[in-house]
Amino acid sequence: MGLRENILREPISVLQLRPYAAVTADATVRQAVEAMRDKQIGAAMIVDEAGKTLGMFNEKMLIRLLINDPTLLDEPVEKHMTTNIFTVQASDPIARLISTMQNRRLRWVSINDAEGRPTALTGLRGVVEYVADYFPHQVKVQPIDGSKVSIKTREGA
Amino acid sequence: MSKSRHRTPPDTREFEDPLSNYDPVVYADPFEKSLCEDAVGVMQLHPFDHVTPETTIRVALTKMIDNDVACLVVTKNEKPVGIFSERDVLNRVADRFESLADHPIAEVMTPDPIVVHTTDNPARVMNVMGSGLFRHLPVVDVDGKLVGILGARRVTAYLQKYFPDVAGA
Repeated sequence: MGLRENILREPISVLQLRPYAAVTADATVRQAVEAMRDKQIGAAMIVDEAGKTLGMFNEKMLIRLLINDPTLLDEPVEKHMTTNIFTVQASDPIARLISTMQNRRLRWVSINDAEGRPTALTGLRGVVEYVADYFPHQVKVQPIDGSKVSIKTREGA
Repeated sequence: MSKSRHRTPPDTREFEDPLSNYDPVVYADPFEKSLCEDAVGVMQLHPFDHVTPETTIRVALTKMIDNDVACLVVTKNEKPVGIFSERDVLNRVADRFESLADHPIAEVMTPDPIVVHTTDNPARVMNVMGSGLFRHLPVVDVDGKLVGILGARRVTAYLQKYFPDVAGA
């Protein structure tokens, strides 16, 4: 079976999903930022006491807020979150995730359980890793610290 | 003893051009073929935003918002020397924006970014992104000059071309 077929058939649950960062609605923006940094993820879910999703706060909103007025960081995150969230279920095919992100211009999609509670957050990275796994020989070699590779003498014959 | 005894006997097998029986790689579908055989230019590389290392953090953030980009490439003589993304804002700027706002971006950028070349294929780009955990990659030409940038949305757009009609999305 080809990669395209697999992306159409395999469920989102086979992707490496990220643990999501969550804060309650009364948390400050600063606390949401801390939660995001803690999990190294670009968005935080805002949830109610029962764990149901109320909204989302992401890096783009953070930048907008910093530029407008950095003191807003101490306001409740509820005032600055978006409620426009799209969710998928872990059993949906990976292709649905790709289409959802592209058609709705989303960076983050929440993966919810049947009760509407978020279980994970995914962006593009899970998909990229999934595709990359198919092509283990397509590696690119380059120094990661920016140092120049210098070979003074010829290698081999 | 004749000299000919030491000679290699002539090869009587017929010459076969090694390329004549070369089996081309078989791909399961056009998607796999594109991933392995197209160049990175099949994805959208433009427009891209770049700033100099001296640009202040305030100007850089304003530029990110105004142009709706998640990442700026920091260049010197047209070559990428750093990258500054939303993640850098989260990790290094968010808490102390007021004290940092007028500092140069060079202080908080990620220096010496991993790049991909215009000749690389999409599969390789995904490997670099997946294994290095980078969301943005500057694309450079053979001279190391910046010609574009690849981010999450552009990669998704490329992938989506092959999955245009998935129900429910």
